[in-house]
Amino acid sequence: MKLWILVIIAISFNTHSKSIASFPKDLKHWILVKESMIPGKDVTLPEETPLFIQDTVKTYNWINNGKGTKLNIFVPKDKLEAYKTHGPYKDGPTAAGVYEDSDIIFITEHIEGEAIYGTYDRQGNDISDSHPTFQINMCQQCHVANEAICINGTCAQPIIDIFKDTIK
Amino acid sequence: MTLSIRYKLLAVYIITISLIVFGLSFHQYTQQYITIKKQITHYKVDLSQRFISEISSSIAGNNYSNLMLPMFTRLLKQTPSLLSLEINGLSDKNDNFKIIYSSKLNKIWRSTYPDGHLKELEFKKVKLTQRLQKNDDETIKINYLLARIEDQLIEYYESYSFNKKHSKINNIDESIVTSKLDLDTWQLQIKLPTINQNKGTLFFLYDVNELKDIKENLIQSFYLQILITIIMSIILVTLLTIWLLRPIEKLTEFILNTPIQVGDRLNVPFSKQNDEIGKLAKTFGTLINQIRNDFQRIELLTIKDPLTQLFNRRYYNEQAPKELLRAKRNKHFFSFLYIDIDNFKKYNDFYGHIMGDNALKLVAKSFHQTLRKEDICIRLGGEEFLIILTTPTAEIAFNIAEKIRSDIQSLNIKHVKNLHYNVLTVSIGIASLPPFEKHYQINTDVLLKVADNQLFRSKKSGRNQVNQQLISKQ
Repeated sequence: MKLWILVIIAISFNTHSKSIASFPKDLKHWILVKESMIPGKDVTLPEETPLFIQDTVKTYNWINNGKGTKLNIFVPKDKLEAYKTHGPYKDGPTAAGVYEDSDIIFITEHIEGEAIYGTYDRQGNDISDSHPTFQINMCQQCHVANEAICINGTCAQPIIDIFKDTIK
Repeated sequence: MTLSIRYKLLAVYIITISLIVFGLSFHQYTQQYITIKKQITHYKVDLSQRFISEISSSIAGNNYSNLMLPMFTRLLKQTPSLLSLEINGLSDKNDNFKIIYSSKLNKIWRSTYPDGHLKELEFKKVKLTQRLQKNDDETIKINYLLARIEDQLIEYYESYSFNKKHSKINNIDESIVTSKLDLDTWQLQIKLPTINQNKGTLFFLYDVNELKDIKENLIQSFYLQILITIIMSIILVTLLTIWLLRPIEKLTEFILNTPIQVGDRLNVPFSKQNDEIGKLAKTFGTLINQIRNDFQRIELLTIKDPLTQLFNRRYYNEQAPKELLRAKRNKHFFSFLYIDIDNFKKYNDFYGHIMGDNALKLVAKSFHQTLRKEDICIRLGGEEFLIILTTPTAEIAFNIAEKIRSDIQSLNIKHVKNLHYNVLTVSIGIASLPPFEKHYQINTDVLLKVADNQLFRSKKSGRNQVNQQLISKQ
């Protein structure tokens, strides 16, 4: 009986599609900590590229009409130190991944040390419903599946270090 | 309890046919079921084997994300009747790799848990619940996190239950494909080895209720087949038994209803058949005819006088009352002619007993020549005879008696001791009963007595005479 109640709760969780993490009002004051990119659809990744990166690129390279986008990571000033050690994080927004060429911002927030996610445009509108890859379940699933890289909700490895030379 | 041949045959046939049909049908059913079960198992194994390559490479590279992508979940979801999949293995760097997919939960999750994972989840849950009670602005987020922790708890408990289930089909050789059908849940467990360097195992769980349906249908067909066959065989066997035993029953009925004492030559049914029944009928016919002949011979011996072939006293005792009744019914005169050979003792003494017997035979023969077929002639004993006549008038009876008397005298059997006549003569006394009303009661003893009196009169009057007395109601 208890299990069924849990299953119902879990289903309701799984079908959650609205952004949970809040859009930070002070985003423009956040610190740029990483610069990376999502290559376009026509770019062939080297075979030795880590699978995590291959998956992420495969998931998001449709962005910007398949042309790819510059990806910048921002962290609020009061969480910079915690970001370096991947936590522990105090409550509130922790990091923002901005697809600079596409008006898409992925937000990671922490509550009681747990990461929650949201997807917004630059105006702070929730766009998590607009595409399956923006849904917060997708974020959660990806972070859990790659927990060795995405430690405590923030990525330890830049998406495309291998393209570092090409980033301006 | 004694059963008739029909029921014995019926029982033997039905038992035999039922056993044969049961045996054949059960064999057929078992073979069909085993074949279908094998086919379904092979099909499920084939379906499962499609995943081996991709999963093995993911295990080798400790690559969870590859298997947790929606595309892979979709692939699992589209696999017909797949209930769950547990992936267990060791990566090339000896890391434990464990993923579970559940169609019931519609999700896939990694289930490698550090020590104290459950406690940690419970602790987080308590912490979040307490926070929720503070009723701050983050209620939605905390509820979301609580739901997520509940979800993780389900994953944990499911993982635990999966481990328990799969331990049942673990075997020593990890490298072979194993399948086990759980007949309680109708779930097929298939265990496949992975092909990565450090090995691993995939546990697929399929819903095979289709097999249950097939089994039920097969069982239904099995029982239906037996039922139809038994009903058909009962009908056929009954008809066959009737066909075989009917002649015997008819023959028995014929024999039971055939009087042994009298009758024409028997025409026994089925006696013209050339089979065993025909032979039996012929044998019965021969036996009955033989019994009839013997019976008639014995009967004649008991009612006829062996010397004269006339009826004896015993016959008189049985037949005389019947004849009296018959005469009453027909309203005829009923007469007793009491006949005695005159001086027969002297004849015997003078001519000897052999000649006496010969004389008796000749007298009897003379009676036959004179009398009608329906008249009854009895030797009462020694030289005394009784003739029972039914005639329309008393005079006819007298005339018949007179003819008998004169016929015997005309035989000219020499009898020197019979004074005045010198030949064998008879004296006759007649008692004639007129056709009175039905209720008039008289018995044969009275008639015999009257006839005897009349005979005495004839003897007294000089012998070789006939005297008659009509019985009156007084």
